[in-house]
Amino acid sequence: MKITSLDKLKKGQRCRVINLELDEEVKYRLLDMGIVPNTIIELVKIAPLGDPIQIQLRGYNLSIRKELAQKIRVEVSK
Amino acid sequence: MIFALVGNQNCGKTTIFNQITNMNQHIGNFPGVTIDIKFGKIPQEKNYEIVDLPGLYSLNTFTKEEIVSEKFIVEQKPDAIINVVDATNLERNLYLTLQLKELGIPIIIALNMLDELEENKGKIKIKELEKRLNIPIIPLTTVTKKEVDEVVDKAIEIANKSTKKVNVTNKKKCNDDDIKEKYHEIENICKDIIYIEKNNSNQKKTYYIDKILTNKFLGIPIFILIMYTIFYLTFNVLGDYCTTLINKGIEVVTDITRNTLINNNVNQIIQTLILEGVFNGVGSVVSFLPIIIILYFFLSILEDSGYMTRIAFILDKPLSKIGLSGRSAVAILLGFGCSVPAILSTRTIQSDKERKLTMQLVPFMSCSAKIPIYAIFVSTFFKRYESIAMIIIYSIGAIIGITITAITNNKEIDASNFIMELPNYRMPSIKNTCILMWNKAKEFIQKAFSIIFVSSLLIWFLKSFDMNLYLTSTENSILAQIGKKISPIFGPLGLSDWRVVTSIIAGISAKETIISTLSILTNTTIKKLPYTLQNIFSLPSSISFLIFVLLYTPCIATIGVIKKEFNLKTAIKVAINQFIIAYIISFLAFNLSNLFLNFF
Repeated sequence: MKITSLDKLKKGQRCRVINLELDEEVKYRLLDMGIVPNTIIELVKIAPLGDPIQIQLRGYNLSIRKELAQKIRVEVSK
Repeated sequence: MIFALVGNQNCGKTTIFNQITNMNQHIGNFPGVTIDIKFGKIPQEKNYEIVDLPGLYSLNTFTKEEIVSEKFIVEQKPDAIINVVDATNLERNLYLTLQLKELGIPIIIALNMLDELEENKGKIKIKELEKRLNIPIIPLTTVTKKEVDEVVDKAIEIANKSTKKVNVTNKKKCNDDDIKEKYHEIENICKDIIYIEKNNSNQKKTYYIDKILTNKFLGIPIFILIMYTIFYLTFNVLGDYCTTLINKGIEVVTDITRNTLINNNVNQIIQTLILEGVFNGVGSVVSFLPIIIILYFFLSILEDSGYMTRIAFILDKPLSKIGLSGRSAVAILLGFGCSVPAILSTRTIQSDKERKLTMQLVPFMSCSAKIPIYAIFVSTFFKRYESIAMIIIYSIGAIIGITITAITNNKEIDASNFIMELPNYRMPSIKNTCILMWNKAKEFIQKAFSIIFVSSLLIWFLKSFDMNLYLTSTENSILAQIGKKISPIFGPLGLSDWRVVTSIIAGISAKETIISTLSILTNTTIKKLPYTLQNIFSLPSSISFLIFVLLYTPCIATIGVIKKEFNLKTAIKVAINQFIIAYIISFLAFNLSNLFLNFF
């Protein structure tokens, strides 16, 4: 188990959310969208110019900026 | 009684709304197509009204459009909520359901997209879900009349059943644990009642399409190619052909009318009124209907297919450099159609600052109403270079707009948060696209016969009579008197002809009137207008005119919507700024091109 942030994932890698270190407003939005602790997230791809990223969770795709992903602490196996 | 359709973005609320009310609202495959509340009547039940609210993910609202929905629910207290739930995206959709349930307003679920779930070999136990949530569920597949009738009946039933006065308290302060708990509950429910394959065929399809369209190397070239193709087809291939066809039609009708009027010895003034005022004025604008409809056709395909969200995804990074985000990309693209819906679409942008910057950028994107002007001028003055000239015109607008945005956005870049769902690709529905094109055609024709018709009559009147209201030549008319007083202002731009100046001023009412005014004032039909223009404009002054028209004060409708969405001060500021910018750039363009021509 390794603890890292969501933006550090490689394409196709999966992780489990630990917590969100974000300001209230944005944090609640991400929680509302289903990024709550223990959610499994897969990094699907990175936009052509390096930002934002596309993630998949709960069966749908979401795009967020790396700046936000940096503040989402996650756990990856091995 | 009022029923509100509430649900996540992009879950099919508008489809259901259209089916219930027999109305034709536009539907898109991109979050936030419905940005305003839409009311409709339920045909068979006189006193029942149904409301289509903008989609929202949560009652903890985040963007302007979500606030619109949340406010409506909490303040207007609908008699029942019809919660539209996308069965293919159940977990996230049910989160809002749990929040809505807590409000205490009678609620039913319209479980949508069951056909799509089935296509993907998914299974769902509806009866059990109903029991677990304790909310009545109506299953929907293709949203037929019969299905939505059941929804309406059920909504009426539960609204009548609830006797206790609903006491909707404003949203409670949400907290982490509450959200976590809700998702936990949902996970437990979903585990038992829904089976959906991981990587089902729909997701796979989307994944493979994205492999190409948002590919690291191909993504941006493909985007540019798609935009180029759209413009090329709109202006060169399809548009040109259709416009020529319509022009011939207008010519024929004009001739028939002229002969009839002459044969019947109709009063001379009435004759000129009909031929010069109505046919030249309105006719010159109507002939561009096909180009505009074709442009909207492509924009709607971009939207319905789901590609628009990918454009936002690709362009977010470069736009973030000037303080915007991928969401602004959508408004910018819509701006090529019409500034009004483009400015309305900025409601999906969360940061106020970014929203205002985007709004200011939209008028620089040349709207479809200006197409007739470019088309005529380009074919007159830039023969054989039509497509390049068109691309240059559009690029000038975009480049100047972006430069100004970059300058006005004081360096500390406020990278507002870009959080956007990327829906699965969907085949654009023919019906939906036709609805949109039909609506746009209707709007355009209505405009042609209201604003443009009235302004054509007004221009005709002012150019036909003198100050003492005697019929006179155009040169001595009231309009000429006024126009000649104003025209010196435009002298430095090489646009001193009073007829040109008048058309520019008339254009503030609606950009289409620029061409109709020029037609009327030069007394030429649209077909012969190019020859006439060659006598009025030189090459440098035509360049100056095109640039001025591209950039100057937006039409009244746009100024109005800016006032509505922001405030009067902002609207006036935009109007004045655009004029000044247009003046400066046209001045430079005119003098530089003059210099250039003298040099060679």
